[in-house]
Amino acid sequence: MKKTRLDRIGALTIIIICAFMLIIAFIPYLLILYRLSDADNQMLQAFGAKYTNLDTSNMRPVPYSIYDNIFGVPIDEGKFSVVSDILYLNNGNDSFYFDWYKPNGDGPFPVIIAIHGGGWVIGNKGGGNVIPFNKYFASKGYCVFDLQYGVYDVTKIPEMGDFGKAFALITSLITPKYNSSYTIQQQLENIGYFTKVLEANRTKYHADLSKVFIVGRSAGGHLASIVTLGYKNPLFAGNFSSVMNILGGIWFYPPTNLSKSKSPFFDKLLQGSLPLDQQYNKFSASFLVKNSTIVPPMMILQGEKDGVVNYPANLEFQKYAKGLGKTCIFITIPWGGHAFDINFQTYGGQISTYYIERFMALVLGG
Amino acid sequence: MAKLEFFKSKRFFKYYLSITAITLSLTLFFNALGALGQLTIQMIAGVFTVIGVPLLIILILLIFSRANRNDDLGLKIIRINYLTIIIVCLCFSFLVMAGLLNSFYRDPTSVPLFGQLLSIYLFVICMVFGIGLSIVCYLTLSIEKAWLFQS
Repeated sequence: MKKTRLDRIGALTIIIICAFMLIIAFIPYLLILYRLSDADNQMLQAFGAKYTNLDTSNMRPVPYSIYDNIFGVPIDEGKFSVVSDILYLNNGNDSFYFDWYKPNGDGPFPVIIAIHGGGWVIGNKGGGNVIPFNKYFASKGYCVFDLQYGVYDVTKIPEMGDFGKAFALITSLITPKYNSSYTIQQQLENIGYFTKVLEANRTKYHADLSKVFIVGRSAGGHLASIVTLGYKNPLFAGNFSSVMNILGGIWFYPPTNLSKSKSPFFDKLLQGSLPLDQQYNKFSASFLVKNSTIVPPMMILQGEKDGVVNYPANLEFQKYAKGLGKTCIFITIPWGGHAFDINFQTYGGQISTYYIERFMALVLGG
Repeated sequence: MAKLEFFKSKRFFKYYLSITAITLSLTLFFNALGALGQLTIQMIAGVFTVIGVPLLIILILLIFSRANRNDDLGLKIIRINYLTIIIVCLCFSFLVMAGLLNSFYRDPTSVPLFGQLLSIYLFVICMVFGIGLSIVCYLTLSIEKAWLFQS
């Protein structure tokens, strides 16, 4: 049977589509090398020779491994234990819990407080907050606390209309059932209360509160940025543990500058003790980085194709922070979108873990 | 043009089949050895995977254009080819899902063994089908009527 012209065109079309998909799929991997040299330069600039001389024998040896992408990032499950659903706050309406990832041994261990994302309106600890990340760092000797802090009930914003109702449906699937709605200020108060509980029980939880890292993703990254920059700021007086010493903030794709828009969403979410304009400042990293006396080193990780949180705005924030003389490392994940590390073993998760563990080790003193 | 003709020849196809079978076998071998945890072996396994998978995909496309579907054997080869492409697609889709399983399991106290075992099984199935397909094609290449090569 002779091949018709149509057959050839069909076959050619399929080959072109396949080749196009293959090239698109490989682009991020081709860009990894270029982007990594940029990340390495930043680490060198920030930490100098300490970065090159760092003992990395206990860390991930390479930023990206295809083998680990297929079979999973190795995590030594024998080096830590997990206790889940520990109650830390009951405010009369709702109960808030946390998961405790405890490395083997007596410690005290450096602390990671992990704050989940979800646009301040959905989300949960555990499955909603990259469990493998928490496990990986627990296996490396960090005491990880993954907590709930409450979310804002979008149905309380009538202007959101049907979108709000649709969102509420999703909320019920992936968010604990809260009876109350929590503004950003209240969410931060809950996180602050957790740090006080941790202070009171630091021996029990083998936690070294002089060595704390705050990690958060998306909206959690925003909250982490406010905790990192604001925990000693008078605007948050009495909110956080007084003995806690934050060594670094690790923010995955965080909004660093909240500004007023036509949408009523943020106006409602930011209601609190101060006039609204001042609330916008109080909850923006770009304001706090200039107006706080204590600014720990920061690491921002974001995909350059993030369609949810503004990537150039965060690059601007880094420039601004560096201009103020602060340590701020910005790791760009090539072709990474929002929540690039949710699948922990892919290149986004691997690259971020590689730099985070080096950043934390250097901040801890190498 | 003479060089282009070579790429359409039986001799090239024979070389291509050998290279694909060897590369996929080495991919499987080094990925299995990678379980020992040696970084160098894992890096080699990664390189072979990156080379082996596109080789397999191109092989599948080559078979579609070279096998004679008017011959019984040729038709069987094309059917095996269809089966392989389905297996490859399914395995890689499930490999991604196994990765997601590793990340999305709900209970932090559990060990994500299932997702990792699934990754291993699927990868092995995919490679074995690729090796099998190239060997079948290599062995049947001498049967002229099953293929559309100009002698």
